[in-house]
Amino acid sequence: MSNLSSVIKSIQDIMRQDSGVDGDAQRISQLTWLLFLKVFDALEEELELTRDDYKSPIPEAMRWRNWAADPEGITGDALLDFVNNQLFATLKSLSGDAQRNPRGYVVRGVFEDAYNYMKSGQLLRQVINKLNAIDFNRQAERHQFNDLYEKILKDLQSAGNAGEFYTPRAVTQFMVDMVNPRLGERVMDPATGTGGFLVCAIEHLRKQVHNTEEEAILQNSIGGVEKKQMPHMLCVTNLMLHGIEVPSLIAHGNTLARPLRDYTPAERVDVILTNPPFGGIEEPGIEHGFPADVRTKETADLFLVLIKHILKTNGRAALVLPDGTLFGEGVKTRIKEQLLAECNLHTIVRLPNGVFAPYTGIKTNLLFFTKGKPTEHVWYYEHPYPAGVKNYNKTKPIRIEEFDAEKAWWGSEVDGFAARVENERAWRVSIEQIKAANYNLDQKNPHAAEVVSHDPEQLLVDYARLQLEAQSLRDQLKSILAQSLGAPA
Amino acid sequence: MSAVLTAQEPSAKYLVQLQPPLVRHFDLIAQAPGGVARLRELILTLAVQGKLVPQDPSDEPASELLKKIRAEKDRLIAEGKIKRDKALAEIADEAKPFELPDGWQWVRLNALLQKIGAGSTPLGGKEVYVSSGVKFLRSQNVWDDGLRLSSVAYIRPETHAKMAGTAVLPNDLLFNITGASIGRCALVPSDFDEANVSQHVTIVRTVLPVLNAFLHKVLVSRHVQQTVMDVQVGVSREGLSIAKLGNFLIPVPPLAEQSRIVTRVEELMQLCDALEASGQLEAQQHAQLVNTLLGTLPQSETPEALADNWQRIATHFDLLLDRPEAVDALEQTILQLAVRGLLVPQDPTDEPASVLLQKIRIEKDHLIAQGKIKRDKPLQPITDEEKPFELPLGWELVNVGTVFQTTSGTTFDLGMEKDAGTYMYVKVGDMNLPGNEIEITTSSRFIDPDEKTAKALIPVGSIIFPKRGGAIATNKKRLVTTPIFVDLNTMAITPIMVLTAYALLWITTIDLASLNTGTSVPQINHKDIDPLPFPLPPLSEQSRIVTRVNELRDLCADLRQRLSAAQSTQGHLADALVVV
Repeated sequence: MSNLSSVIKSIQDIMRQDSGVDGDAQRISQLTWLLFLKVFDALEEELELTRDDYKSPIPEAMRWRNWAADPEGITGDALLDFVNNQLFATLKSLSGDAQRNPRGYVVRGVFEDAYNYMKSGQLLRQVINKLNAIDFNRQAERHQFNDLYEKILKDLQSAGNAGEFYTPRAVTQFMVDMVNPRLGERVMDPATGTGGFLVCAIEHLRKQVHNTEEEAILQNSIGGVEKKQMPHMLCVTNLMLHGIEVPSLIAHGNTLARPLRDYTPAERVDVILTNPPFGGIEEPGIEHGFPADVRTKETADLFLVLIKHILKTNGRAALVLPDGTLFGEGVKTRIKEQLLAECNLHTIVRLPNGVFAPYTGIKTNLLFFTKGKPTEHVWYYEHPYPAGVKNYNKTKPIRIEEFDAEKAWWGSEVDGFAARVENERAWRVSIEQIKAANYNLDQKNPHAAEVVSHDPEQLLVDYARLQLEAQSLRDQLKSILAQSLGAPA
Repeated sequence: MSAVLTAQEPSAKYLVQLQPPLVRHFDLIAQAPGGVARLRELILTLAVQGKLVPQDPSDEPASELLKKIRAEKDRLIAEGKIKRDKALAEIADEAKPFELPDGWQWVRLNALLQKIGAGSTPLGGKEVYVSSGVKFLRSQNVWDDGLRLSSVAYIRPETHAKMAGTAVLPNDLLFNITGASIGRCALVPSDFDEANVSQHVTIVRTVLPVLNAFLHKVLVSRHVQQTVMDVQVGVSREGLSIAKLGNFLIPVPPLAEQSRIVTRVEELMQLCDALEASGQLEAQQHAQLVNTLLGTLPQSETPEALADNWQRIATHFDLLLDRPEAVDALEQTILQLAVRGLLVPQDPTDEPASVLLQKIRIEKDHLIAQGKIKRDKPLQPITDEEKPFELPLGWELVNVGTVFQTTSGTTFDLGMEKDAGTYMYVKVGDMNLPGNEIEITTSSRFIDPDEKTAKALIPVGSIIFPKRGGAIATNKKRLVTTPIFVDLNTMAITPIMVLTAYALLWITTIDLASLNTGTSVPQINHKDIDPLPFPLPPLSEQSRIVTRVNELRDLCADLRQRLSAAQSTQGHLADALVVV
């Protein structure tokens, strides 16, 4: 690990000297396509060993082994010329569609919007040589690489894009565990980001794989869409590293741009796991793909409508949503009304502040629902900070062990979660109560003593309110006393 | 931004850049309870994370500094001055507590040291301490801001000579490793002469003294203090050993940056000192101002003076009543005004108190004839000179004994005290039971009385208070709403044809401790209570006063609650904003 991370660090240091690479985002983007090619080549090496008829979708001269692997290979302007004018041009125009040549399709998809930022061929050669120090075919190193990879993903997030948050591994893990995808089911994330949920789902499904037929089923059961180029590229590489040979089911595009009515029954999925971008607004026109009564520009709301639509009957979903969606009104009320009528929203896990720190301090919830039956009641579970922790942060993130209490409490959907009991963290709210509250899902824990907020914004609001109330009380006191003590009339 | 920040301290701008929300609400935090302490913690945290001053890429990196330390250490080893050190455990990436800026390095504390070791305490108990000689430093002398030597012990030079291994040298760092002051760390001044240390204090001696100033900041920062608490009071409770201390992870900046950080920290700490001092002064002055201004009200000689005095308060009412303590003071003033007849206007059509007084006399004689109360001794009437203030129209000033029946409690045979029974038996301690805050609703002991003892029942409408012992000073007064028994450390006053609620108001303004006439044991007797002057308003005015006071006290209670809540919110806000 320390070896790998020092390699990555020294690569970043080299890139810093290059006048073309500006900022973390570009640095990571550059590193990503290089990594992709290297990883792709490593996987191909394996495939060549195991399959006699393996044929690379990449022309021979463009393969990593043939232009990059030799540390004494082309460098300087020659390398730069090759990369800019041959490599990128070729990969961007690879022939092949998703069915007949899926590998070519994946490579082309990755390079579609990729760009070589580096302007010095010498520095580029240094970077490549550093990369070659890593052996992705060694199982041990590949395993470590996954961790390292997540670190790069985190750096990417630190570089900062509004509305997109790296979902902490503990949260994705918990959601996947609870939704429990079974082999043969189709799993989908309509906003993959860098693929955290899908990778988690793959690991979950792989435990159910015992032979090559089952592996083939797994290979074709993971799908997703990502709007932005760099997360998409990272997602594809991420999936390849987790054993998806041809991540051709990961599309680069905006899920919401496709009108709802275009989805055929055959396209519906069994399981949706996602953390849709929230707080974002869609470009004008997108909402026209949605039924008139739920038209809105707000991204998270549209995703909720979409997820409800593309789930199969009895399909399960788990998603991350901000507090705002739970108590929002107007179109949000109608969306929630429909959701509760068509799906059984059985559980909402309320997360404390800071789970997504440092990207956002916004309060979030995990919603679990199953399509096909209307909601009768919603179970809430308030996830507490571990003892002694006041907030999560980059170095002390939320941990999967913290969800042990929820897992023990969870019960089984088959019997309608009959085993669940109310406790100081868990409480049940009937659909009547929710209707009476105008579909406000922001239902407070009746068992909790008043908890101290650690959200500065909330505290400031509280403070201002208390000051205002104190002022009004002072005014009353003053006026009564003035009556008694003021100058005799 | 805070006026204090802009005016006083240009270097505070660094905090501005680092923590915009912190600075936006700086005043709120600085004034919060413990807010300055949080700021100090924040400053140290930022300092050791390299966020307090910008990095200078031209600084020689810490790795070079570490090489020099190693070379110096090797030289000392070669000269036989120190023992060869063992190789230190590698620091794994995942063990690193936070990201460091470029040019910084994580090391284990031992890597910077030529010596780390606890002192020792000479044998022989107190005998070894002498009035002068060589200083002997104990944990109570070690403070983060330096050595405090006012209570320092001394040992004989001979004893000192025997303990050369634990001698303190100038520039040493001293670190408390046990006891309540664990984690406290002092930097020994460079002009310090000599001393020894006890086994509770560890000597931390760096290879290069130039490292000390920054290292001291690291040792007192949360980063190290939290580690100390973790090993000390964590689940395992393993305690802090010197070996563990030596393995602590220390962030090392380039040398040049160390000195910039230390300078900046010192500047900011001075700002904190100033904030703290001005905060304390402000609190004192505020309390004094509130007490003085409110005090003028009951002392007003005329209605005009009262109106003037009130006007002065009204003008600054919001400023004065901005904290719970000020509301307490206002409430006391309201009560005083109430029993002075200044809170509600007099009504000339009310039946005057003099008539009420005659009725009380008749009622008393009636009760005496029935044997319900004892015949009272005539009290010395209150002369005009004795009257503390001019009485409002229709009021009378009388002795307490004239309008109250005063009773002391009885002690029962232990056998009569029960866990349950017909009547509550209330002792002083029972006044503190939950539910008894205002009136007596519960007790720990009960009595089933016989015919004779039933006479000792305290009737409804009485007010009870402690009459003996230190409890007098607590000024507790409780209302009796069902007949009860009280023990002999308790006294009751029962109003005769006076509203109990008014009587309670009045007695709340009386400081029982000032009535104490006991010599060795504080005590209040009938002779202390009965002659007290009691301002008696007409009956219907009593009722108006009570209504008005209750209204005002409810408002005061609400206001106090909001102000306390605002203070604690302020505290939480400081916590939340100061988190790094």
